[in-house]
Amino acid sequence: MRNPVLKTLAYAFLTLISIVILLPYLIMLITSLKTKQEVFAFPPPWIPKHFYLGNFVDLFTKVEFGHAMLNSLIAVGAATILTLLLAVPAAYAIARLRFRGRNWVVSIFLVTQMFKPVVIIVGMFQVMVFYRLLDNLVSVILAYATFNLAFSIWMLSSYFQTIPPEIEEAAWIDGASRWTAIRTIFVPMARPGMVVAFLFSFVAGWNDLVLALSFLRSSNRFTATLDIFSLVSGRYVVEWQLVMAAVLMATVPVVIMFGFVQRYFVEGFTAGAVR
Amino acid sequence: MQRRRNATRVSEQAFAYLLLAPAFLLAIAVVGYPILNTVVTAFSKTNAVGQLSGWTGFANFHQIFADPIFLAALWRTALWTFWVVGLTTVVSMLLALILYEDLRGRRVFQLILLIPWATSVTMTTIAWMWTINGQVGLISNTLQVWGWIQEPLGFLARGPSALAVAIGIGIVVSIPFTTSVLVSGLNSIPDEILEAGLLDGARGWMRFRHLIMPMLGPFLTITLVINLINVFNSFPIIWTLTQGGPAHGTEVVVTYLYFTAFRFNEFGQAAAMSLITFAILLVLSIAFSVQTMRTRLS
Repeated sequence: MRNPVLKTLAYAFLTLISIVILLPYLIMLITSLKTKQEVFAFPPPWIPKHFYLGNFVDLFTKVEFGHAMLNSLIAVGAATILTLLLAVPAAYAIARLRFRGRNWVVSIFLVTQMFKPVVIIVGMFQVMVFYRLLDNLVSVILAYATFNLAFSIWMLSSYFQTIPPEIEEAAWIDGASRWTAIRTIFVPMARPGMVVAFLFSFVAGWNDLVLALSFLRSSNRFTATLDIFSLVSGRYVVEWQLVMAAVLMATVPVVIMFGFVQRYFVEGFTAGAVR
Repeated sequence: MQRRRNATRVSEQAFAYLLLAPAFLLAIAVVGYPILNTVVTAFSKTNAVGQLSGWTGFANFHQIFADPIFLAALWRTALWTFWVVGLTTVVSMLLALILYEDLRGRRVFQLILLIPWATSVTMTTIAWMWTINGQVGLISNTLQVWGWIQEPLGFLARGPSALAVAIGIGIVVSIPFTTSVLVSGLNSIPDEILEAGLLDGARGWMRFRHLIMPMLGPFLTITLVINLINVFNSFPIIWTLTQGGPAHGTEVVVTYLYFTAFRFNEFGQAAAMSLITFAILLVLSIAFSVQTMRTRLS
């Protein structure tokens, strides 16, 4: 871009968008480092007087946010492992094996990806009642695992297609069984793809609201997202300094995790357009 | 030899089905069965805990189409989807064209874009609620101290302004994905084409309209369809911000569906709304599948 006017306009636009994007997170950070008195003072100070870390302590001692973080970790961790256990074999079949109905399988998975949980929440609620899983973390584990399946299978199968099958075939000739070849040759080569699928499923589950909101009732079973939601939604008095500290704690690890795999996500969507 | 090859073919098929079976079983138990249940419920009478008590034919559908709140929510969903997807596309296209240039600091901007992308939409919405809070919010009080505004900010007190806030948040959280896909689309355009165009005098608007746009087409379609489906289905922004209020003034189909099921306990009517949503989504999904099948499997 050589035109100086255009260049200035471009920078102005980037700056404007950056401010809009960053503003709420900046205010979140400021608020989490303020005492309650400072938050409710008028006029409110933009910079906290001293960086107060007490909110982060209160999260664990007063509102038991640690418990919610632990619930999230258990539910999302279990769901993500389950997703991979089911998605890796399915993706291997789609990428490597010839079977009748392959195109059908691919398109069914594509279509299910379009259904967000909220659209079938009535049916899912009834089914969880039927399975007697209401207010049980198992309900969200099964739901997260299922809703991550489609994307994981899709992503893994395109990754698996980049691994040359000849290497496995060479192992068969050397006398290895199909299973041994998969275990000793294919799985180690496929590991990077699995890591990406793992991180994506984790982030997706961690960020869910609607499933936890519908299935979990007792506050000691709340996930982190649902717990924070319940501290804000429909309340007249909100302890904003605690809420903002909680949002930071629940968000920063996920943002870092996502930073590592974002590239693959875009590649997954654009691969089709290029080929 | 022929028989042997057939045997491997058969065992390969059996092996494939074996590998696919667990994923399919879970999908049927957790998604397939609920879809079936939703269909049955839409044509049934239901009690307060969502249990079925006999068929009612199309009564639930008659009721929701006689409900002015539902009709308003249907229309509002169209507006909400149009504005979020439309403005997201315009802003992201501008951003992508800027980021495609070799500008200093574009890596920094790409990192900034990661933040709202990775953050849960619920969390981003809560951060915005606090940012525009009228009573004790930093912005509102500072603007009052400066004398720029007389009254505290009250965006969420009225339907139209609350919907505008929701649309704004919807755009902010949709921009990162859209921009990234468009940037990789621009990067996929071979340099030779642009250089050849430059020799022929294609610059500025001409270059954009006749060289870049045709190459970017498939990428633009992908972002449009994915955003359309995501925004149409979007629940957490509006539910966190207003729960569809005040006075159902920000209600879209999915929030009203949720409200009808879990606040009104009218599961039959909520299921009927689900079916209406299905129908619309199915059309969008088929459009998406056709597009991906055409580009991926060709």
